[in-house]
Amino acid sequence: MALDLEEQEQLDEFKAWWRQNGKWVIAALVAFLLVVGGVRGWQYWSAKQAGEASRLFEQAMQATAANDIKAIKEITGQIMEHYPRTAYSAPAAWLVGRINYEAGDLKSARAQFQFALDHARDAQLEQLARLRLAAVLLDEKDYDGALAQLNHPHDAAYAGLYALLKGDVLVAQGKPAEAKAAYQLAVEKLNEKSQLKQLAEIKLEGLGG
Amino acid sequence: MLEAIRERAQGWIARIILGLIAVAFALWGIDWYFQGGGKEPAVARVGDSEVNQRDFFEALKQQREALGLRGAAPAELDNALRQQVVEQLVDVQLLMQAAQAAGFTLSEQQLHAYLAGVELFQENGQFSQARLDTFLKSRGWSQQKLLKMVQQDLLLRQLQFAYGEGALASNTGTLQLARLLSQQREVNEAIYDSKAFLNLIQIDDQAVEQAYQANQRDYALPAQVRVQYLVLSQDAIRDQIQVSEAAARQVYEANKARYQQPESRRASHILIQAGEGAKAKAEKVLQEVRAKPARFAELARQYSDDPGSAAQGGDLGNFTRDMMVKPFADAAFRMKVGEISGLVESQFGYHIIRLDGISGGTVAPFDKVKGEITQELREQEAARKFAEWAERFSNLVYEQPDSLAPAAAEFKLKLEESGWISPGRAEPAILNHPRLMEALFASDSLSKKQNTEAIEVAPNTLVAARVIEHRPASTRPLAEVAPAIRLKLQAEAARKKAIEAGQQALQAAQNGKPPAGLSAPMTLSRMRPLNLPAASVRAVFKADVAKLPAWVGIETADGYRLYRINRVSEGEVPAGQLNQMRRDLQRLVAQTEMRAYLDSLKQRFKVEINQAALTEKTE
Repeated sequence: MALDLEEQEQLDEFKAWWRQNGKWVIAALVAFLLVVGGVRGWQYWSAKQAGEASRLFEQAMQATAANDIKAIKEITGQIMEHYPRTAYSAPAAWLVGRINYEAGDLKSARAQFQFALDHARDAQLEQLARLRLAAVLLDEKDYDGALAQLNHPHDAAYAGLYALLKGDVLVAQGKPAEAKAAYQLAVEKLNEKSQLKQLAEIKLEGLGG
Repeated sequence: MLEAIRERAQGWIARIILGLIAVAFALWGIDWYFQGGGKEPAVARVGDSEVNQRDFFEALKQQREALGLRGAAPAELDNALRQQVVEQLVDVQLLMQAAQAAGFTLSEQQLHAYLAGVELFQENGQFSQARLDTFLKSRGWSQQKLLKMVQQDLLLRQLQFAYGEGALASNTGTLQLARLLSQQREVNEAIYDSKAFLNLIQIDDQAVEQAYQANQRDYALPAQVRVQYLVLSQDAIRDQIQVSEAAARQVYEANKARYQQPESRRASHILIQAGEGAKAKAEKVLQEVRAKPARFAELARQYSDDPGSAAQGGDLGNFTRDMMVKPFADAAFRMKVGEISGLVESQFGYHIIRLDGISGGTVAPFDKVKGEITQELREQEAARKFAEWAERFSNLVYEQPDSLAPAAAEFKLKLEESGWISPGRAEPAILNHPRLMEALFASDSLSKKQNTEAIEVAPNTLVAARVIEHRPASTRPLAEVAPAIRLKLQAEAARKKAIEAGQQALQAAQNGKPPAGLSAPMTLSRMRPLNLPAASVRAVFKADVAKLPAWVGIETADGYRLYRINRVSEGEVPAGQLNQMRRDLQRLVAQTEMRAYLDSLKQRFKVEINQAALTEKTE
């Protein structure tokens, strides 16, 4: 009997506690489930997007192997337009940008290399994108624009490539002394195994260095 | 009372938390909690994943096979190879992790579509699970493993393309380089060759002895031994084994299916290349062929767009199914001899095919495969015998340590003797095994002249050896090496004299007194360096040409060379060559960028290589 009483008492206590706090517990649960559901939904959606972009990208690879320029432009256009937030949008822009560049259409190439820079997925790729954009800017004779990209902070691994291109820009600008310093840095920083190092040496020697 | 409630309340909170964990399991799956799994020794850690030892050794083995290395390679080369392999595996890991973080992906459908397209897994042009299973069984792989490998492979290909296709070499930079490479400089050359100074040099005995004392290490002779040795190898055993014809025939009868040759067919075709109006043209040609089938060869010569076969009247020779594109193969292997097909469409265009013959597809007669079977049986028997003998051989050389003769007699081996050998320098090469050398130079071997244990110096090859003569480490005597030292000192002194003479000439020239012996003028560019040494070309093009003529000198291996630069002119670079150069540069840029990208990833994901795990196999 005493036990029953005690249990009854505990139950009442709990009911009182629940009346006071129950809605918070439920609210917290609902909020949790909403967040989890949202995250899962977003993950599902981005995986789906990435999968579709990947499939298109494979097609772009095949079109490149077959040298089908029209198809490449069409497919990369689709990736850039419909899947700009996937990892494939920057590579698609590079691919079509390179093709336009080689055909002499610098204006389109510049826009596409800028797109790749804007859509690079991580810091390392962004630095790669800057380097490539700077090469297009150099050919457009936008020397200050090119230098602005090349003066951006970058990882030590890219130092040689950045310096080499910077030397080219400075030579084009008619600043041999500064170009010499850039080529010197390029020779110092380029990987031993890269043949670009020898070419940087030739460029340096060409300036009497 | 209050205590009790508090306990209850805690109980409730605990229950809610447990409930949450259950929900998490339901949402993320149990894997989310227990990633990592089985522990294998790692050769490298990359970010939060590992390169395990088994993968490393598998890759190492493949690399060795690709290089054609068998048995033990020299330690230096072997180390470099291990380093290279682990670095490659680390690169792959880096790339895969960065790719996954960035969101590169391959769906199950893409993987299956890829597998379905692999001809090895097809039967009659359709994907066959049975074929795939046979393949997996032969390799001892699970389908899961294959899918994972294919996924990694395809993903890497995607990445390589994704990053590599965006590399650029600017036209501006290319033109700058081309100008440098094609710039021409007209020079005269004066050579100060050290040989001309040799007879001016006297080297006395004291100088020779001084050089000898200063470089004792160059004249050190390692400890050497002469040994007796026995080689027990599976190859040698195999040569002694006889196989009866009856035994070979028995194997043949039991395994007839293995001796079936793949069917090959012979056909001629007329190809109308894909393109506008191709089909209409192809139909017209087909009508003509049908009307006059005897003139097939003539029509092939007239119409076929396949330059290889058209001249042969369309004849393609013999081919097996896998040698031809699928639609062509399917058609050709359905036809009867002499039959002419309708239009068969492939990626190349439209084919009209005439089947000319069928061969193979039959079981090879016993006489033809007898040699192969006999060889196989001998190999099997030799492997069995070697396994059995190896242990007895090892015991025998150990139990009778003072002589190799008993083991030689027991296994009918020839007792051989070597010349003077030392670690790293042994003939025949079979003795040049680190463990064998170590055993030979151990004190028991040297002083008591006991047998070494039997050591496996190559796969299925055991060697036991015994020292018969020993020469301790020493230094070659002065008398023996003096002539060589004198020659060397002479050459060095002569080169120094030549360089001095050259430098003096350079100074005189800069003061307006040109040297004697200048060559006729030569015009060179970096692209066309004539036959001047690379160092000379560099010096000539590095020289400051603000004032002409300019003088430049350079030390070479055999003295000194002096150049007068008379004229500098721009070379010409044809546009086509410029374009080719830009493409070459672009490829270099792409390679260098990829390397730089990988190196930058090393800063993002921590890379640790476990050097110890590269050498010791702890499986």
